[in-house]
Amino acid sequence: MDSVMKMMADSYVSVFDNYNLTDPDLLAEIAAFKKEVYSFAESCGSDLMKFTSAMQQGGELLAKCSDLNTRCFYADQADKNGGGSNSSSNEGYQGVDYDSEHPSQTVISVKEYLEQYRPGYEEIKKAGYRTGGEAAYEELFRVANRTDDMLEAQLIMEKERLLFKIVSEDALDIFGAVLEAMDPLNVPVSALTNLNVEMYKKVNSDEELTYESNLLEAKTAQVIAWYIPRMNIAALIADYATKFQMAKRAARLNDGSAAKTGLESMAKLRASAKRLNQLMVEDYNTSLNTILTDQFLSLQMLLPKNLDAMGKYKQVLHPNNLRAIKELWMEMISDTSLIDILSREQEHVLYASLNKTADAVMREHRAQVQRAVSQLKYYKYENQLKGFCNKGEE
Amino acid sequence: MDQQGAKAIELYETIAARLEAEGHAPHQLKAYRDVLELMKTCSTIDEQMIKIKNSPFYTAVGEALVADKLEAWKQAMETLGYEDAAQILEEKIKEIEINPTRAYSTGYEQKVMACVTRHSNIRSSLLEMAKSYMSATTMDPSDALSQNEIDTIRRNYQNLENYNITFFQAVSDGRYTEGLGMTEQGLEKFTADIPKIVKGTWSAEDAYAPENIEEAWKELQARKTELKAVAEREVAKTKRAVVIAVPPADSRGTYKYAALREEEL
Repeated sequence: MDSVMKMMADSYVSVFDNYNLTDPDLLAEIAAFKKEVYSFAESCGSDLMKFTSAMQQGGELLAKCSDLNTRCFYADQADKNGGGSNSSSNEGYQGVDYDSEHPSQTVISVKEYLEQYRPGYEEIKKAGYRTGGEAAYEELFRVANRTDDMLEAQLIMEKERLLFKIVSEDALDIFGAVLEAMDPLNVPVSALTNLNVEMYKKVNSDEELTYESNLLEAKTAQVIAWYIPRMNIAALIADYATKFQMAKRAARLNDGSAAKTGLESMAKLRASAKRLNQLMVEDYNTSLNTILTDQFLSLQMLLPKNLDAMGKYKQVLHPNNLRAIKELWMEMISDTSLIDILSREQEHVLYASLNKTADAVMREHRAQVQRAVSQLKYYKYENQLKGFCNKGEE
Repeated sequence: MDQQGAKAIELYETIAARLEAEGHAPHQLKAYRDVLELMKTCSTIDEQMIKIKNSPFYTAVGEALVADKLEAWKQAMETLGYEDAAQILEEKIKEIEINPTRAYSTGYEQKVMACVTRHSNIRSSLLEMAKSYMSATTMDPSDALSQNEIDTIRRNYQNLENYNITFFQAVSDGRYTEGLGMTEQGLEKFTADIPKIVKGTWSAEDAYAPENIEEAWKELQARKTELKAVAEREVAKTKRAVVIAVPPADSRGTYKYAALREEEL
């Protein structure tokens, strides 16, 4: 089993190790539950998202975990109190012995009740970066300072959604760290993480989480579906413009058939550009100007290459190429004759990519970026976080 | 009613109010309301607890949890318009309502996920086709890449049949096309052209054909020296260069460019 996955599975089952239980049926149930969790974790491979989603969405395993934990807690308390209950505490209602015909109060205090969440707190503290989750647990533990009355405590927890915040704040720690390592303008790649962050900020209960999380895949697909054709348009514009500049030069600098081939290419590329221009205007209600004003789409014209694992920083061609692309594009879609285009000197020219120093500069740029990203939470805790994201490979 | 009994009622009413406002947990809402009704007939909290323990409501909230997980899932499927998936979940919810122990019988999740995956695959196939369509219909037909794009269109057209849906059905279904952000006119053209591309009857010449170059060729030869000089001036301005695109802190910002490295051409 993947080591990170095992750590996650451990965090869900380790809570049962804190109880001193004697009931053989309960012990057998715990053993079976642990087996089930590890078996599910195994089936998830290294897909932490699948595991945590299943464990956080009010799924069967989580429901079982919660139910079993409650029963273990009460059995543990009963064992500690010699199997039952008597207290003359006047500090508010603390519980009822349901099995007695004459109900009496047990000795479960608010503090003791909240201690069942301590193992989870200790587990996320080990992570180091889950500060929102830690704060949510601490807020929960502080309820014991606010009241000694179990009912009052439950009311506080319900009104302030303190138990649910443990889940949502912890998720925000995780997705926030992943998001920080991404390029915020790369909307299609960061869509799922962004939507997760938005979702965890918005939801207030397991049921809302189940509802919203089941919309995520389709919402993400919608974002991607909007961007993919437009990214392709941007890439095609850059491709046609680059080839057009080359064809123009071939026509003018060469002689004979090479020059004629250049001229033929110009004509073909103009036809392609006009078809593409018509398509983007009519089919997608967009234009070169619209694409150029979109930071991410225009970057696609500069042939981005990721410099870090998440694609936050990219090596790109000279940004002045965007001006050259616009100039070339206007030539291509215009009705100006080919010879007039050839007669006119381009104000902006496309810069090519590096040749001789390409590898050395790539190493230098990567090293520079490595220094910049190494301080980000994602890279500090990469082993724990890499399962929560789709990387920005391009 | 003693003070603790009143507090217990307040707790359950708070939970019920939240569940009602959220709208995703009708089973729990009903369970809490049933329990509340019973609690309000009691004069002490101990009486409340004993009455609950001896009532059918004792396990109702726990049972409702599982049903509501499915209810929320079903609602999401309905929101997405995945009626097939919603139907499976609806049947499962009814099964649990009759027999709560059926909550732990599995198999239905895989069926729901199969429906979701099918919808997702249909959407992906149309997206692939839309992407390849713009390349295939704008590239020079003699370009080998153009043929690759046509092959992609054909492969995805075929894939739709594997998902038991025709291209026409898929492209007419807003669930699969809305995300593309295509105009009505664009979608109509896409719908008409794709079958032609698949059959091999679509022609790029239907749109813009390359212009005749003979006149330009004659003039280019006649003005070679002058035009060559123009090209040479352009070449002289050209370099090789790369930079690092530095992203902004958030999506409202713009890229900054750093670490420019240049080479002479």
